[in-house]
Amino acid sequence: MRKSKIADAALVLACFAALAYAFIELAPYRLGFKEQAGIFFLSPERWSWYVSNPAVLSSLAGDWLTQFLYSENLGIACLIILLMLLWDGLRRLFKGLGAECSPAVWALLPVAAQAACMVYLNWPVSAPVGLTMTVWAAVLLLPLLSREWTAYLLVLIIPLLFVLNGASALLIAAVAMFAYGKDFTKAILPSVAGLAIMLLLGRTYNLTLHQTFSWPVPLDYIVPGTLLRMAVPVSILAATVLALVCPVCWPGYALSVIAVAGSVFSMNDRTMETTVGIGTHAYRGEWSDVRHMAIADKTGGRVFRYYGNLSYAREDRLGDELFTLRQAGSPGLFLPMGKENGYLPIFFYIDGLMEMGDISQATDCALLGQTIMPGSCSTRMLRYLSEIAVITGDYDVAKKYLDILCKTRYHRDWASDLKACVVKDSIPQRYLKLRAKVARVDRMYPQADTEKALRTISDLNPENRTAVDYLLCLLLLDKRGSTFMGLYEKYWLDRLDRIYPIPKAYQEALLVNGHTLEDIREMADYYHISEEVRLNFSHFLQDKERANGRVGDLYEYRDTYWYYIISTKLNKE
Amino acid sequence: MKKILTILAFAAVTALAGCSRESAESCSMFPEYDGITIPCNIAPLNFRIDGTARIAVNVKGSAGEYAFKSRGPLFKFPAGKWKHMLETEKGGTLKVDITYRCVGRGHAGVRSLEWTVSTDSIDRYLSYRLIEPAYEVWSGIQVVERDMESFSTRLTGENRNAGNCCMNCHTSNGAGTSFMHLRGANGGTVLNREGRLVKLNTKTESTGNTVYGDISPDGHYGVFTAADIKFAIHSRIDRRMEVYDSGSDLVVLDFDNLTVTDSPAVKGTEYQETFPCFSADGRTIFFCRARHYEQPDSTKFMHYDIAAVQFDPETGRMGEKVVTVIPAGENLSFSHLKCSPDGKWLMASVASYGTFPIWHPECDNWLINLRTGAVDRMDNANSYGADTYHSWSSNSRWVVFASKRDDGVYGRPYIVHIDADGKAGKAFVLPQKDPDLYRTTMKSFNIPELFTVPEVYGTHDVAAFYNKVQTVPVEYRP
Repeated sequence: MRKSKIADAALVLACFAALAYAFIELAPYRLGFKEQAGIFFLSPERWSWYVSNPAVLSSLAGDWLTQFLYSENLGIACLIILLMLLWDGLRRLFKGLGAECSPAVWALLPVAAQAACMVYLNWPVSAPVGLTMTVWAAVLLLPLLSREWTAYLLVLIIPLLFVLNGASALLIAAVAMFAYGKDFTKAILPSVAGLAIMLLLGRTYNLTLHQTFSWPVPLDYIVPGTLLRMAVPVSILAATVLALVCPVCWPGYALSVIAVAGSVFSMNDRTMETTVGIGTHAYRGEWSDVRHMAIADKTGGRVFRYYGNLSYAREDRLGDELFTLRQAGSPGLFLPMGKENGYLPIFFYIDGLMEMGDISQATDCALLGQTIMPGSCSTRMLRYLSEIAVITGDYDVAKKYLDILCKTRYHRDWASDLKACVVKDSIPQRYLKLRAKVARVDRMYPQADTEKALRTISDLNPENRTAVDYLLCLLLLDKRGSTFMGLYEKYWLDRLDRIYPIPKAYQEALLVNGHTLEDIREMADYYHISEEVRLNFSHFLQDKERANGRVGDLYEYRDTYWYYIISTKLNKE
Repeated sequence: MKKILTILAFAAVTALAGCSRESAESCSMFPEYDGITIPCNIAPLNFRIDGTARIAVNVKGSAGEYAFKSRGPLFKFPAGKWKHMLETEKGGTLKVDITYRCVGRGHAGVRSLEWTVSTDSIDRYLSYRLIEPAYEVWSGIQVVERDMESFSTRLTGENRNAGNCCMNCHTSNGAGTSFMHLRGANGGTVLNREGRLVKLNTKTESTGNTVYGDISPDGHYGVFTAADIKFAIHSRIDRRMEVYDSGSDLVVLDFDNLTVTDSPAVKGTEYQETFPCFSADGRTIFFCRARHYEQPDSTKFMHYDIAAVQFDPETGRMGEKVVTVIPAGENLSFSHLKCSPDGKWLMASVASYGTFPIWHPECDNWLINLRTGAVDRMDNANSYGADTYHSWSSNSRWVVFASKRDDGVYGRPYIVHIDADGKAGKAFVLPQKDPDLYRTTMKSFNIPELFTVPEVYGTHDVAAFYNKVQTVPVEYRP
């Protein structure tokens, strides 16, 4: 007996350490992202949303816990405590059901499944909260089920738990079946009646059958795959069966090790983690970290290129540093906006659109992001919407968003400060700078036609250097030399070149696309190309001739437009 | 002693006045309900005064005085007493004195309001759509039926059990016929004719998808815009999305025979026709019409006139001659036409250009006298925000419309009284049990429509219609 307790304690410590390591080392950004995608505040409408859906208690508690994920360590601590509570509840439940072999081991299986699900971006915290509450309810109810008259309480308990905790109420029926499955009147009849009422309730809540059995994970837009949703119930069922029927413990240890390893493995999607990470740094205004991650990226991911380019564009250095990053065509400057591309690009693209002065599409993007989030509300989108409203001078709606953010725990200070600025009409310089980038004359352009949007903004606000930079860089990256020449003359020559030095990439492109070797000097004089670039180009031409088609020999020119032209094959992304 | 009392009274009054000034700055009332005419059957006008600990309301009417008290910033009128008060004071004016005490600081404040209780009741039911004000996608659309005499609501449609489809334009003729469009893979137009439901595929080889529409007073016909709707983005910050039709015509649906017909007068590429509505006698179709230009480059040149074409209820056919009722000129564009059921008035939304003005802050509702042609700009009722998409009550005395006046983005249903001479009162927002709902909701109240009887179907019917019921095709009748 004592030995068993020591083994359980050791298992708890081992689980705690493994989960802490997994969460802290492998998925902190993704957990933090849950907070950005959701929100917790109370208002008449939020209350009514909670009450008009099943899982009232677990949704409220889950959303409340989610806000702590803003703080990396606090969030991880919350989730680990939650998972340990789940484990302990399951352990006691299996024991109560009569598992002879150590139930602590078998209880690891569903906990591992839940832990793995937890690091999926949109697996709501309310799901494990609901399950944990139901498991503990089952532990408390188990003694009651032994009496005939109390077993009939299942008829009420299952629907009640559905209302409070969601679809995890099914667990109670499963427990009754396991405990007294042979007794028709004690287990089967009340369970079936309880489930029937639960289904009727689902209909009253206006849910489909599928939604009833998975709530509070009904996020049709964003949680992919029925299999993922089934992982937790299936693992509970398997663990329960194994705990009850397996006479020896060693398969349990083996399976648990596999389950924990599997869940750690499923968390270890580094690309997703770093993708969410770079977006999170941008969201928090940590642009040096953004650039660092973009430069360090070896995958050539579009989001990394986009953020890397944006980090330079924010400092008016896009044209100078364009080829510092590994580029592969113009898609790295922008992100796709359609909901079919997932919500991450939508979340990330707002920064870029605001920087380009395309404030209408930034608004569209932020509203789109808000719309496809669970409960149609996300803290990140609310912050963007507030900022956009401040930039556009729509202070009434800005106050609405800021008032909501003032009701949240971690965004209160930020919102109060910005609201004070709005009330005093002393808008922070950064927003005034973004406001100055917006077109001054109204013209319409088709949605999601980036080039047309940039041309329109550049036409209508000649001082918006960022839009011109993005437009010219788009043409360079797409190797559209002649169009670049035309638009350079239109937007930059004798306009912006009187204010800013000519970016390095443009100088290099002008030399290539302008004329032949004979009149390089003439070209350089006409376009005010620096002596350094001109000489470098001459050397490049000589080396290119020497290389005789071996691109690798020209690697020292890798941060030039000339090298990009000969080394990059454009793919449609 | 008298002197002392006078001094004390003066000091008290001065202190209270000082408190009022200070509190007026710190405590604001929401919603603004001053100087309005209210229906005699409206739900209680609950309000909030932020930062208050106690609120007392004293209402003086011609038949008596009514005192109410509450704690906290939310003031809720007791439903029974409110109903009794409106019933007793019907046709009179109510002086509403509100005194409140701010939290902590002990400041007191006073507000005085005036409400006229109209003898005209408003239709008991209001339907509206709750939708995020995003430009082209939707999530969690609900079509809600609200009881105007209380705060109870009922869902008549929700897209979460209907394939997340878009639902729109719930429209009724107030006499047992209504329709609602469902979009998406299993979509169609759900037509309700006195409780009999059918899902129609209104698109034919000769006519396009039906969009905005109206039902004839006898319920036998529907007139619709068949349009190809597109979106464009504005470059300036004070504009948002522009919705336009790349082409649009009018069609008439015969609900008895399930046929669709058009007319050379209202089809073709020279003009674009949209937002049709029947006159009260069902013999004229009013609509908006503009000369066609390529869009979005020329959307700003799209100025829609109000036009009319004859309609023969016997044959179900439109006439062949279009008459321009009110030309738009170069700075106006009409949309969302609705005739009052008494046949006297035509209300239209008026923007500076284009056909979909919900994102046009300059858009107002105008009232046109159909006998004299006189136009009233309804300055009392309109605002700096977009005021659009109105619906008449069955007695032609109330109009509900969607207004973005409060924050420019989120539409809310506003109610306005129109007297027998066509004079519009001051508009007020639809009362809510807790008006804070308007300040925290991320949904727009969209397409408000008044009804006298509740809709026969509910959200489960709509879901079943979307998921299980086959569409019935309509046949083109040349």
